[in-house]
Amino acid sequence: MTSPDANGAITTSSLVVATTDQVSSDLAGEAIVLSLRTGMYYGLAQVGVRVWELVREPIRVADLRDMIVREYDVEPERCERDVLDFLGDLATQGLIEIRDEIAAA
Amino acid sequence: MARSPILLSREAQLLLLTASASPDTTALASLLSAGIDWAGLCDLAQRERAASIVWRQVQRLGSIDPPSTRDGGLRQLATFSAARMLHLEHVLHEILATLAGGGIEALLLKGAGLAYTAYASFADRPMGDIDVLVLPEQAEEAWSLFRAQGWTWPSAQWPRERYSAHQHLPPLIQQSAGGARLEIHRDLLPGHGFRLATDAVWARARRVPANDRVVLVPHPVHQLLHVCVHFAWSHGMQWGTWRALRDVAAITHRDDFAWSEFIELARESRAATCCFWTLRLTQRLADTEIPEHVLAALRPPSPEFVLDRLERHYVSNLFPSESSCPSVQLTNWLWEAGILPGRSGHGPARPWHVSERWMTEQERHDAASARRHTPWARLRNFRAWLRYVGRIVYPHTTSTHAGRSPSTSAVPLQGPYLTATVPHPTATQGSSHDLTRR
Repeated sequence: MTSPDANGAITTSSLVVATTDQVSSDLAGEAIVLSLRTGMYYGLAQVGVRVWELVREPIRVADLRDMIVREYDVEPERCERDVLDFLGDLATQGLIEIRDEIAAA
Repeated sequence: MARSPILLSREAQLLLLTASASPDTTALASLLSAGIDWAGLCDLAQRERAASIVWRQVQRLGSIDPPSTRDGGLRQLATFSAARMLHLEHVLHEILATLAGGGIEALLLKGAGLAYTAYASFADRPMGDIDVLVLPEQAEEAWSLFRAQGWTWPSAQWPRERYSAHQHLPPLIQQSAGGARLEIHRDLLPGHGFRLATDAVWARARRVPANDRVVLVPHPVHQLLHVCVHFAWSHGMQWGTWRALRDVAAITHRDDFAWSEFIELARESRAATCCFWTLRLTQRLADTEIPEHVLAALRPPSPEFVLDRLERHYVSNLFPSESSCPSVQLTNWLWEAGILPGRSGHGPARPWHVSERWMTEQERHDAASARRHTPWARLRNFRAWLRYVGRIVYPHTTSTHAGRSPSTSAVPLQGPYLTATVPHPTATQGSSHDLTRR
């Protein structure tokens, strides 16, 4: 996993995607994600489920943020902050990776 | 009208309704509205490994949620169960890759085979372990292959000699991330007088897609036969009820299920009575349509009055409860009265012989001690026997025929076992918690 900026943090220009050493399934509208590396599992609900759906394919964080803003009643600034925090958590748990290439705008 | 004390609790009714291929949401909502002991439901769901399916059905109803204070129980169990299934599916594909690497063909039995055929997804069929059938001459080689890969064999718990005549080799355990249990079978049915050539199972097996590979599974008539014998014979109709009834419902849900072939197979393999009781209980309890001509073709030659009373006994023992049969001996006799092992051609073998053979010395000693009653305890036991038999033979309900509800039932459902008077069963703990919780 590589970091797109000098501090290793995810930015809106980062390209993120779910790692291959996880599996997930739906449970009554929630997403259950199991890390095959650690054996830890996670339950994602509501907006988290949608974000998880979106990161199943490589996606630029800014695009992901824009889709969430379009689909939910949320201020863009707050959405961006929350999305970055959430993606940071997913990355810390090894559930997503940040690709080298920065998506061209 | 007095209520029969031999009835299923609301929690058990709800659990069994979720075993249907198309659960009746009206019936489920009625049960929930009537009041559910959520802790009791969680205990049952955990015992039957049904939490993720029950949770999904409860959530489908939308407006009726578990009380927030108890929410964590069922929801957390469901999440764990779903994660467990993700893990087991991953392990299953590792197992298949290992076997393929060793040039050993495997046929997926029980839950794993059904998950890819009768159910929409692997996660939709909760299971505790993975069962694969290999050719008898390759079984030892397959077992050794996994041992060489680090799977462990708790030999003190499962000594070799106990498996010499068993349908599978001693179970193997994978200790790493999450854990898993593997049973390598060399035969489909236990060798207790059933007559089914394993060659025929291999010959009729089908290849079906499973993620990015193709797997081999038994033909649906063999799958159903296996479910019925496993439940009615190996589990004595007292264990794994939800999974068995749900499997029957899922396998037979297809319009093109070959009932005629199944009847012939059940008779030829000496499993007619096992199949009859499993199908009848599924029809009665899991809101599943079983053709009457199938039940008629498989039924034991006993009057309906007798079958009806035996059914009451079996139902009252599907889950632990205060109304369960007070005597192991009586339970065994009534099992024989329904399965008719002698007439079926099973010889002297009985399911409890297997349990007795597998007891440790300490367990044998404890069992012998428990049988040494004082005269007063014997009298108490005898009275408990009489009360139980009385409840079975003289039920105070209007009918036990499917489709007619007892008039006293507060819940407008179909089926005979509807009124909840029994406290929820004692909690059954001990299912694996080997995945790390959130």
